[in-house]
Amino acid sequence: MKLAFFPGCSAKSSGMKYAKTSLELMRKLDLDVSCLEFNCCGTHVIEEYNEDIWLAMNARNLALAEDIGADIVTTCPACYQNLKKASIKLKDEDKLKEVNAVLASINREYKGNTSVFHVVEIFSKLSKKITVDSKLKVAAYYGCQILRPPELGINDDVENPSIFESLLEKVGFEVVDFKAKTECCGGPLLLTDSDAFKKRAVSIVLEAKKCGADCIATLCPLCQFSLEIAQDKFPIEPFTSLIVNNIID
Amino acid sequence: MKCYQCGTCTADCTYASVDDSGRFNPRRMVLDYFEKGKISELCWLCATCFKCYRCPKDVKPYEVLAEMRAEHIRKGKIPAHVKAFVETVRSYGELDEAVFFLKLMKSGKMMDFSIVVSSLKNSIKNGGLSKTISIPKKSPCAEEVSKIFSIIEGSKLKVEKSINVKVEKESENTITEGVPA
Repeated sequence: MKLAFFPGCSAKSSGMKYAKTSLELMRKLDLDVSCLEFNCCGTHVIEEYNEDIWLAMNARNLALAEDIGADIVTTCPACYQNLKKASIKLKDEDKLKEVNAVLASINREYKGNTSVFHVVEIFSKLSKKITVDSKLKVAAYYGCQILRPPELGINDDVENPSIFESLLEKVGFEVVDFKAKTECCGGPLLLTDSDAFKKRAVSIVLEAKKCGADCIATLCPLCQFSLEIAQDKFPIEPFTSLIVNNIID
Repeated sequence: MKCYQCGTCTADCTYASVDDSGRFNPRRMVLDYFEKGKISELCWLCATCFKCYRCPKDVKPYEVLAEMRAEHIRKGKIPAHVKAFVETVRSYGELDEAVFFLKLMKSGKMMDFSIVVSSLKNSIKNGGLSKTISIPKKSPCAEEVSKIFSIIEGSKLKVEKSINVKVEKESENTITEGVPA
């Protein structure tokens, strides 16, 4: 399986550690992964600003991967949701034609063959074994957009998912029963109501402590950023860096 | 209207759970939207967490609020953070976080000082000082994305002019009042 790594915009600053360690881990696992000149997925912000622009931007990304015969794997749940939503919309032939008329002006074409995955899905399917040496008790934190809305989320139980815990347990971490695992970190509120943001993010961290965790493992760059800047006492780590830092070679 | 006002959306809502004022009520916003066509300014406060997917009538309040935001944008009432986001992506092809925050500060949007400081500390920790203060570079995709914007926005303008509709210039967008700074 050929993969194109979609690190998302945050990979160049706040999400750098998560993107770097994800790529490192994929290479360690001998995955055939390429890095391409992807653009922003637009998120709901561009979608609400102008849906046609949003769709064309995502079609360009899907086309880039298609050109090298790859599927997309991303670290960011928002990118995952947007790319997936666009790829579903582009199953409609008329929509695809419309978008390709725009893409033609940048000499690109999308034929409709790219699938989109989140890194958690890729790592949980692997047969090659990786093992960590760690006594850490980990709270596996899903956040929102990898699960919701269910029509765009990963293939798991939307109310009580288990893919992330299973993956962390398989590599050798002890995983606690974390009640806030699918709650929102409040990240988007950062720009609109910072008091509400802090209240929400801190409540997630307190819940992890209450569940007996030593740290929170994240799978979303925005959750990582939010929980880290809301407080600086409790360790928050992208799950890929937790694995890479504790791996037994 | 499909909605029978059970309030599941409000009970599950992330922002409603941390909003002391109690003014953020998706159930009410959905009702006013369908019955009075009211496009609430509060829609910008939605955390887009999709918790309201549990709606027993499948009204999808998250889509109703997204439609409200799109409607505000169509009327040219665009909050500063959305404007900064769109402008950054339009010229850089991606959301360069440094450019985004600079644009936001230039727009005069008030930011919580403690959040600015901890964000800066975080980006130095994760990206290093050189990245944090370096001059942003346009990525190779920037040109293609800018072209997508100009083609689609250009053709939209043409269509609107040809049917003689008054076009609201997007460059004159005002910051939406009522959205907390």
